[in-house]
Amino acid sequence: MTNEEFIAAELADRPAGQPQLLPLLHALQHGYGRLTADMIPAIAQALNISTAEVYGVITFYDDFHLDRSPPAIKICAAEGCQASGARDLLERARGQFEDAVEEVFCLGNCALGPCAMVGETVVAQADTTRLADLLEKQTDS
Amino acid sequence: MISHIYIPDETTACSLGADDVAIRAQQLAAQLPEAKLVRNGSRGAFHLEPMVELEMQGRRLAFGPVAPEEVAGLCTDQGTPNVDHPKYLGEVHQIGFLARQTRLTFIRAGAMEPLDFAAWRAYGGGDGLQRALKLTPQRTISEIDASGLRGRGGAAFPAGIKWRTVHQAQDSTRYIVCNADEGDSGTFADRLLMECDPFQLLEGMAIAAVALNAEQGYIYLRSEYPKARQVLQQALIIARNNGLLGQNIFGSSHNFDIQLHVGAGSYICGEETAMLESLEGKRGIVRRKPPLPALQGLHGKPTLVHNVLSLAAATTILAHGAEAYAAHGVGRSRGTMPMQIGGNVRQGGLVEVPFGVSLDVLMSDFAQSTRAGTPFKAAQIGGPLGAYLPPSAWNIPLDYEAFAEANAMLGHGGIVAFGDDIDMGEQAEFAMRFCARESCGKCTPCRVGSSQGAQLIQRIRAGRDVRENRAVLDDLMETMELGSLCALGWLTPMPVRSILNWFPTELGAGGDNPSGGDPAEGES
Repeated sequence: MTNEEFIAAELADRPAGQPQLLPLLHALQHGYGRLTADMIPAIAQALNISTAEVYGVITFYDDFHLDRSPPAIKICAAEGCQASGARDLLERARGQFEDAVEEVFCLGNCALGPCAMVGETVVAQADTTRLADLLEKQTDS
Repeated sequence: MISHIYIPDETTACSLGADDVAIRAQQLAAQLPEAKLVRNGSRGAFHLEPMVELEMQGRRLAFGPVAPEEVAGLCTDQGTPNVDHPKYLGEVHQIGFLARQTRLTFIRAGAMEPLDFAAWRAYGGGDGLQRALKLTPQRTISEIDASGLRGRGGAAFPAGIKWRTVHQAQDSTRYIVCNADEGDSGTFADRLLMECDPFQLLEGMAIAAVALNAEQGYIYLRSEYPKARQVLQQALIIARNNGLLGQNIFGSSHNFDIQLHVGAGSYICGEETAMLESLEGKRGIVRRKPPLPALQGLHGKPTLVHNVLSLAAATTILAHGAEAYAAHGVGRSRGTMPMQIGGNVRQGGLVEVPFGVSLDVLMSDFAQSTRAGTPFKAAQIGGPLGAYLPPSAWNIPLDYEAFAEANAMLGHGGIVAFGDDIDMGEQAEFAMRFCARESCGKCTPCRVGSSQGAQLIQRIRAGRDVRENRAVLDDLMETMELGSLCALGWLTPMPVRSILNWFPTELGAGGDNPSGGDPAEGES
């Protein structure tokens, strides 16, 4: 499927007259595993907006990553988790998983930090052993 | 005989292994002739999750926190709840953490399967909308007004005024937008409501739609809440199938539908105008006000923008009347406030109490102590833009005005508690760094002030030219407070000032450190 075909199919599934850019970017990143620069003209064309607008939106939002896969492990670096060891966890996880880690700000599980998310699985009182397990399971599936 | 086994299907419970507990419970249920496994919502006593409830003759007996291997032992050989089990907590409504609350908004959370529409109706869900459909729009708005409800997202703006403004707007196309971009660290009440009682949110939006004659609503949900997204997606379909949404809602002449929109990891999109921009598919850049979103909001049309809890409160107000709601609370803070206790606490979770309860009581009766059992050093209240208060300053009532007087804010009701391992200077620096990271960049005080502020605090912490840097920091914070376009810029100094005020020895009071280099040198 070309980028154009993927985009056309996505847009066909959505109610008309609604802003499409963010849902489309989510779908592309999810569908292809990453957003790439060559998608930008196709998106701009399909939505009748400028390539600058598309690029601006991709780079504004932390969820979108251009020309690289979104990190598999999200670690909460906000106050609720700082109170229970997030800084330490983040440092150790970065040492072990390197680019597979990104910091996020709050997963809404604030009484049981430090918290992390692998895929869509939220982990309470996370440590690197548990994260490694989940990462392996995710890679297997 | 045990009729039901309840195990929450909710983010916190699942992060603690509730799904594994449920697998074992399914095996247990298969051995009991009448027992049915129900994945309910969480009641929000997170220190007890995964909590298992066994129902027998209408009584629900709780156990928690339960590990998967403990499930088989919760039941006696006779097939009755094993009340001698060490994890036995008693009847669920008598658990102190829950019994000491006044639950209006969260009354159904944990009681039922979140997507069971019939159960929701049986527990009183939908009563508010049914009543609203019998009232004139003016009467519904008067009810909201008379209840004293103020926006629960943090700004505490009187809801009645907002509803009236949208109602009086000239344009006939109106929108109801629910702000579910609950980005403040330490807050999870919106998530809990959406996961455990999603129809209540849809009902609240429908009440607003009927009163304001809107046909389309949007929920702007943050992307960090995958379970809430899954629940809402299903809830919208079920609500349409049951007449809560769609054409002729609840058999009336009103049409109203809701679309779910997922954000993309930006804190500033919790600011209402940035959220509207994002909803329109753009970067989340804050809009200048006026015009107010109530008059020119989404696509330039009159838009009611409310937090999840504000819309949820509307269902209680309509179902039971403004007077009953306003009977709770103090001063200009009426009703109940779902507070959220997190951070380094022994007992965390959702605590819904009437306004007026003292912060001290929340910390002693509910949170109790740090996980290690040691005393608290501080609590940050109201999210990343809220003040850090030491235990000596906790003797204030939960009341918007009392918090403002104490140079603090209630915000969205998050409390993050800290033990004595926390470095307050580091927290002050983080406040500025967070603002620098999340600033939309539109106004200079926020965009430049925050990164400058972080560098100044870094120098002060290193003991470099402390007096001079303190003076510049004070000046800078005043500029941010007075000159920023939205709350992110004007409130970021609040946590910093609270640390300077309450924890001076940890931020600059030690004076210059002769050996301190300039750590900011060479940094971006």
